[in-house]
Amino acid sequence: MMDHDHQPLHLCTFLLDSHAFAIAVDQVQEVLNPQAMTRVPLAPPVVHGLINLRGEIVTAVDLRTRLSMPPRPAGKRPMNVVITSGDGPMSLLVDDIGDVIEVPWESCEDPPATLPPTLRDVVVTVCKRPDELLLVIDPARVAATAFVTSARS
Amino acid sequence: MDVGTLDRLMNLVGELVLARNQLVNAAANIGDSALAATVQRVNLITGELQEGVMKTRMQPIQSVWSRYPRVVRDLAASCGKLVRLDVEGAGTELDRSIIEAIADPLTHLVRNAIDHGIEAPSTRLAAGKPDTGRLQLRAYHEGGRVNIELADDGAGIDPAAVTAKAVERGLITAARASQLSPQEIYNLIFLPGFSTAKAVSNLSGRGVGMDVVRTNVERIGGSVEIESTIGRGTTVRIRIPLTLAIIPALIVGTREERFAIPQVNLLELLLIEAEAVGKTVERIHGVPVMRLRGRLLALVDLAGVLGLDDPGEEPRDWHVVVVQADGVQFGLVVQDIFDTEEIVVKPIGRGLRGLEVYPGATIMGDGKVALILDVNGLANKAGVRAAERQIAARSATAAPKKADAPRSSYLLLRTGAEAPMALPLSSVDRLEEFDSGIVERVGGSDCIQYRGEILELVYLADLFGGSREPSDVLRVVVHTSGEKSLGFVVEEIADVVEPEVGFVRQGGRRGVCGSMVIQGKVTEILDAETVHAMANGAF
Repeated sequence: MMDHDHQPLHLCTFLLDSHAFAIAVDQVQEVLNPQAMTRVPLAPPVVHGLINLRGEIVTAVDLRTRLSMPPRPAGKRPMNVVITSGDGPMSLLVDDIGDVIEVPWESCEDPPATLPPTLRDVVVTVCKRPDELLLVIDPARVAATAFVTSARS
Repeated sequence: MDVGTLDRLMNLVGELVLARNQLVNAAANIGDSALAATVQRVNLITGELQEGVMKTRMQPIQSVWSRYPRVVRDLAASCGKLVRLDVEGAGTELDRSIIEAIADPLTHLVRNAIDHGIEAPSTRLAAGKPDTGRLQLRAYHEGGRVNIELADDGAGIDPAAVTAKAVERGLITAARASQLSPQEIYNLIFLPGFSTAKAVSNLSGRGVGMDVVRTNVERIGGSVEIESTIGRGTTVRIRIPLTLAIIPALIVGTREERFAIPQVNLLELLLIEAEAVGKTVERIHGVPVMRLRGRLLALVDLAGVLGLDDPGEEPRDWHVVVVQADGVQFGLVVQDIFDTEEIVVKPIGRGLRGLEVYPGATIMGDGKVALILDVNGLANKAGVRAAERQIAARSATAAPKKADAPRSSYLLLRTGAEAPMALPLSSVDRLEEFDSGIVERVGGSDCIQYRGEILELVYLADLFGGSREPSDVLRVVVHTSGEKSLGFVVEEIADVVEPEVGFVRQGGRRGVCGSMVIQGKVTEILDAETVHAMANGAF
């Protein structure tokens, strides 16, 4: 993420509990409206369910749960940010999708060491925007640690 | 053809099958006849395309077997034995993925047979056998599945040695060991932690035991059986499905969720009506059980095992799906039973596979995902204990198919003649009662409209003698051979029996495969396939 090649970063932004997050555009396969979800009994709590993505079965991981945030209000159906992981595509559930923005790499910094561990695990960069701080998530780390973390908790 | 291309084609056909299912659903809702006809055509074409693509994935089993002559020669030489390998049915075709899955278990069995089965030449000569042992590999199709048999003419398995070992290893108690039938004893070999090799040899007995063989075979929906005679040899029979990609499954529902149970695990479906639940379901220390034909069947609530919330104890019907895997037989209690469907097995994320309850998932006609249940995994989750499984599984694991298997179940019939007749339960599809008014006479034979098809009726009294009493109700045993179903009309369906003693006489008149004494009477056992053929000749 912090490759200093002087190219601006293209980020897909989204909201979780009114906080701004982002994933680099080149790591996002697609963004989907709320989908019919099949829950998976016995699965760890981060696994919200399975969706049918054009015939492929994709695990949907709730980022709110993953980041230890309060559960989504009832009736609010999550949007899907589909990423590709080593184990095929995975959908990250978020509250709302924002714009795709371009940020200069100079405005990005490593996250502060004092972030809570659940965030530090997956947040790779903090973007200083004029009106807010944007936390950039590395989807590969979310995918890799989705099941590990839940086993620990 | 390139392997990647084949997989891609297979996926696309899978998609097409799903889209077809959705189309069929939608067309049924709309109810337009022109549309229905088109959908019907699409349906047929999809089916044929699916079959065609599946064929391209088929490979002869020869591709695994080709290495055995060398394996056998090397192993035999290294343990000083003389072994001849005979191969039959090497051209039998299987799905590539299945061939890959059985290669290792099969090799293990071959090693076992040479190492433990076939004796040294001097021992063989002393026992009056030729000094060269014979190892026979056979593959053949049977009823939509493939059987692979590995037979040796070696020392056979000594049941006493097996039980002694199992008791020594603490796998069963001595008291229990004395009650086991030979088949149950052979099943002990498949328990984890069992190995009869007196010493760990170079070849086998290195911890990769028969339990691994069985696990691997069952993972692909197959089963393993052992038959053995002391001094005459051992036969290991593996039964496996032709393909893994598209399988028939029963769709069940509980707590608003749908699940698919692979047909290979299904034994039967039972319905306990709400008012009968209290009487039928008994509890042992809170664990629900029921009596099924004289045997206890543990009941497992699917929602409970899966930790789905309980909506309260409102009275409702219990649907019990009797399933079997890994020698376990138990009843899975679900809320709804839907239909059987051909489902396309799709992989799910690795993390979820790790739960060991869902081998995969599928997409239903409405586009929603349904999880496939691994009956084995459920049994483990529900805590059906390993040692007890072996015992509980008795009739289930005892060679289910063969016509002369003495412990099979039979349907006892009265056909109008004096003597009762019986039909192996395995050849019975369904039992039905029809009002005799709905019988139509077409082309010289009696038919009824049944499940959207025409079911031809055969009166067993006509074929085997006896009188046809006129009656308002027709009692019909539905039997399916290949694509065609026939209804055997009988006077009375008396009972389901499990005779302790096998055939007292093999063979008999045409359509009869032997006689048994059942409930004190000599009973002719019908051979459904031949009866089917006889009836077809009559049409």
